[in-house]
Amino acid sequence: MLAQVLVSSVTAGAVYALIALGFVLIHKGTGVVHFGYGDQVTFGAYLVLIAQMAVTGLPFWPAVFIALVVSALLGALIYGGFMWPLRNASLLAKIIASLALGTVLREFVRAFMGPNAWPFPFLLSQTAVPVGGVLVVPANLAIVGVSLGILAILFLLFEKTLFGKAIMAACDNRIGASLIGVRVSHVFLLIWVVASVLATVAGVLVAPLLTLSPDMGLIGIKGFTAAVLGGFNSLPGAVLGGILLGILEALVGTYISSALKDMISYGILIAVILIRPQGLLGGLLVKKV
Amino acid sequence: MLSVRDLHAGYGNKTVLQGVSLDVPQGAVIALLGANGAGKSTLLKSIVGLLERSSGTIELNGHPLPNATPDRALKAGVALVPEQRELFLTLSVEDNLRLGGFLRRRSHQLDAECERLLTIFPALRKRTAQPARTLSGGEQQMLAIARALMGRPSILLLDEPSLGLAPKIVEEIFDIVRQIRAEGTAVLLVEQNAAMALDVAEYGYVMDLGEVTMKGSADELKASSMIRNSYL
Repeated sequence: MLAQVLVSSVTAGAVYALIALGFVLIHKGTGVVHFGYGDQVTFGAYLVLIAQMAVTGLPFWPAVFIALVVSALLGALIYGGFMWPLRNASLLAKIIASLALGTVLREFVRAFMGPNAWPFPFLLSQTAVPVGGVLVVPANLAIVGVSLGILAILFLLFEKTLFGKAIMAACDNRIGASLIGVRVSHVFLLIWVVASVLATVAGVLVAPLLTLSPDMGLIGIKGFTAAVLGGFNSLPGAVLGGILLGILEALVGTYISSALKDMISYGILIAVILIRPQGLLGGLLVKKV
Repeated sequence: MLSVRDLHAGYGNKTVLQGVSLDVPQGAVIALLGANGAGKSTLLKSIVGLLERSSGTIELNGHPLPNATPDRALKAGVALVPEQRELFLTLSVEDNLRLGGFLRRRSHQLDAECERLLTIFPALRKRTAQPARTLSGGEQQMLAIARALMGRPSILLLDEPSLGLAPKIVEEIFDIVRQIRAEGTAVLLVEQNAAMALDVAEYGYVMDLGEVTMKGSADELKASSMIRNSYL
C-alpha cells in the first residue's frame, strides 16, 4: 500500500518539480517571483489544443512542438515587452506586472476557449501494469520520465558547462558577468524563454492528470510551494521540494482525507516560512548592500 | 597602445569626465592618481564599456573600441578589475576563475590557464572548491585579478587593488602587478597609495574634477611639490 502511494505520488511530484524549477530560474535571473507562472502552465497546454484547431487534422505531437515554439516566443515577448522595460522598476511593479500577465493569459483562454474543461490526451497508455507488486501506469511513467529527463539536462547544463555557469554568474552578479564578456540581457532573455518552455512542458504533462480549464493555473501555487520548500534559490532544492510535496500530498490523501490534500500544500508553505525560511537546501541569503 | 582622447562620460545627465586624454604604452604600468570623486573609476568604467561615453574616442592599437559593449572591449584585449571586485560570490573559486575565460571557451586551454594563474596566486589553490564569498578580502582581490587575467588581456585596468587590505597583502598585490608587466601585459593602476603606485609605475597621471591636471614620469611626479603635499 505504502509503496503504491509512493509510486503514484512521484508523478505529481515530478510536475511540481518542473514548475518549481521555472519559478526558481526566473527568480534567480530577475529577482521576481513570477505569480503568473501557473497561468503560463495552463496556457501552454491550451496552445496544443489551439494549434490542433488552427490546423485541422494536426496530430498531437506536432501540435506539442508548435506549442513549445510559441511558448518560447511568448517568453521572449514577456522579457522584451515587460521585464526588460521594467528592469529598473521597483520589485512591487515587477510582481504586479507578472500577476497581470498571468491574468491576461488566463482570461484569454477563458474568452476564446470557454470556461469549461477540455479533454487532454495522456502521453502513454493509462492501463496499469504490475511491476514487482506495484501497479505502474505507463502514462504516469512518461510524466516522470520527461520531467527527470529535463531536470537532468538542466543539471548538466548548470553544473558541467561553462555556458551554464555563465548563466549562474549573470544571476549572481550582473556587473561581474558583463566584465567577463557575458551579455547579461541575452542571458535573461534565455531564462525567460527556457522557463516559458518549461511551463508548457509542465502544462502538457499535467493537463491530463487534472482537468484542463482556465483555472488549472492554481497548480502554480504547488510549484511555488515546492520552490519555497527547496529554498527558492536552489535548483536541486526545487526538485527535492517538488517530489516531497507530491509524496506528502499523496500520504495525506490516502491515510487522512483526499479533501485535505490541497490544504496541505498551503499549510506546508506557511510552516516553511515560519520554521525554515531558507528552505531545505537554500543557503542563508546574504543581503547585498 | 591604449589611447584615450577627449573623453566625456558620466551618469545620466551628470557629466563626470570633462575631456580626458591619456595613453598607456604596450607593457607599461601607468599610475592614475587623484582624490576621491576625481573621476578615476568613471574613466576605467568608460574604457571597458560599463559606462556609455558621450563623446571622445578610445583606441587600442589604432582600432577604436566600441561604445558601451564590455564583451567587445574584452575581446579587443582590455580587462577591468573594479574597485568592488564584482566576484560571483555564490560560485566556487574555480568557477569564478574559469568564467574569466568565458569568451575563450576552449576547455583544455582554460585548464592550462587556470593552472598558470594558480601558480601566480598560490593562496587561491587550496580554496578552489570553496564559494568565493568565504574568501578573505585579500584573497577576493587576488581572485578578481586572476579572473580578469584569464581572458589574456593586453591591458589590465586595476581600480584601487590595495583598498582595505593589510600592508603585507598590499605588498603582494604590488608584486603581482610587477609580475603581470613582466609577462607583457600593460597595467593602468588607480591607487590611493601614491608612493607605492609611483614606485611600480613608469609614468603617471593626476586627475581632479574629471580632468587630467598633471602628468609626467614617475620620478617627476614623485619630485613634484603638489604631489608631495597632496598624496605622498
